[in-house]
Amino acid sequence: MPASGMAPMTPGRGRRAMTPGRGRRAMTPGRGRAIPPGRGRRAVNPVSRRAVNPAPGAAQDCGSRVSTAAVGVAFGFLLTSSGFGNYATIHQALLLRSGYVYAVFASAAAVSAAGLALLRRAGATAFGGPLRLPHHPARRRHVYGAAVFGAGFGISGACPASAVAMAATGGMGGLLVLTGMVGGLWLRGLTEPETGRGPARPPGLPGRDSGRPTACPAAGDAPGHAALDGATQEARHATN
Amino acid sequence: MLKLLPAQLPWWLAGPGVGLCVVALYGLANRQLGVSGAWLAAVVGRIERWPAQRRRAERWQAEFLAAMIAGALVAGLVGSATRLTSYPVLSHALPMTVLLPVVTVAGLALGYGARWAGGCTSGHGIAGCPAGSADSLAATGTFFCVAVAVTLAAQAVSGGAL
Repeated sequence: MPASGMAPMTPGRGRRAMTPGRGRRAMTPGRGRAIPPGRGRRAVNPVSRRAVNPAPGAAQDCGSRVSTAAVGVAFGFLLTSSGFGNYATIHQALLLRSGYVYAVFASAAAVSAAGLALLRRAGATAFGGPLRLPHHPARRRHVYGAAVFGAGFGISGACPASAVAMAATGGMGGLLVLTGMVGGLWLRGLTEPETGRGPARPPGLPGRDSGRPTACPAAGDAPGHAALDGATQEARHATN
Repeated sequence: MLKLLPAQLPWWLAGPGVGLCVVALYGLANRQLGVSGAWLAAVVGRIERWPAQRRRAERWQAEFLAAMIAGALVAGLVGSATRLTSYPVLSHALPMTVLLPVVTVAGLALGYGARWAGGCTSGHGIAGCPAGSADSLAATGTFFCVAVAVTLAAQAVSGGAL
């Protein structure tokens, strides 16, 4: 993997950016001092009586929402217009008769690995504070879950994203796959309640090494929640 | 439908474009692109009645999903491969009474496995792997191998019909 090959070259920077607990603690106080939320004088427009500078989090929040939406549109568009919603595209790849899907995956991975190397160097994100990249150990559940996922992937020729593309290009079966998929997500939550109740990491372990509910981390993601204490959040999840 | 785009973008456009999406979401919003997580937060979170705090923290996933669906619909509208079908290819090989339950069960496996593994083709495959996360590498290797094995086995069993 290009990314793992890159890590030794910039050990200091890479590690600091990727160790969530340390990096956040080290950098948050500085940010907080620079722009204390809701403290000190507030500039007010004398005519409109509105705050001239909105709360520091607002611009960040707006920025990340807009960029998330833009990336979502681009991602959905690319996936659909490259034929990922077509059963035949995936099927030919899984029969190892066509290299198209693998070429898309490999080039996507190469481009994002290169981009992430630059991001690691910067260490910060535009609207989301200090960069946090996923850095989780492989556990059994990743293999078992992926095996079940792979069986569904092989039979349906669709994944959670490409089923959207399938439905968007008129393949009504995509809606059926999506319905089943939502049912499966819910079913797994019944089977293993702790995965459905947010970060179920063992107490005492810093960071978010285990218990991501899905690929996207649950806790401390929105900039406004970055300061939330993980343990508090976990306790709330466990009691609900 | 409008046939403004070819049926399939060349891989050297689609792949790097997807890669840039991943980098952009990390670099702009500090977020990991993932579609099964988006479905989980957008739909299953309501069914499971997640606490307000978690719903708020993962609201962006619902927004991402909505945007992604919008992008897919636009691509479907301007693309040349859009036409109403029941299930591409599979509907010719299987009678409807077999196809519907099979596809639904496959969907169940997708959702169940994605939540178990903590991600899917997008979250682990295209967003987690380039970051060098070990869980993503393990999951991606596993689901591709299993999917290839299942597909080849189905073809062998069905005598080439599937």
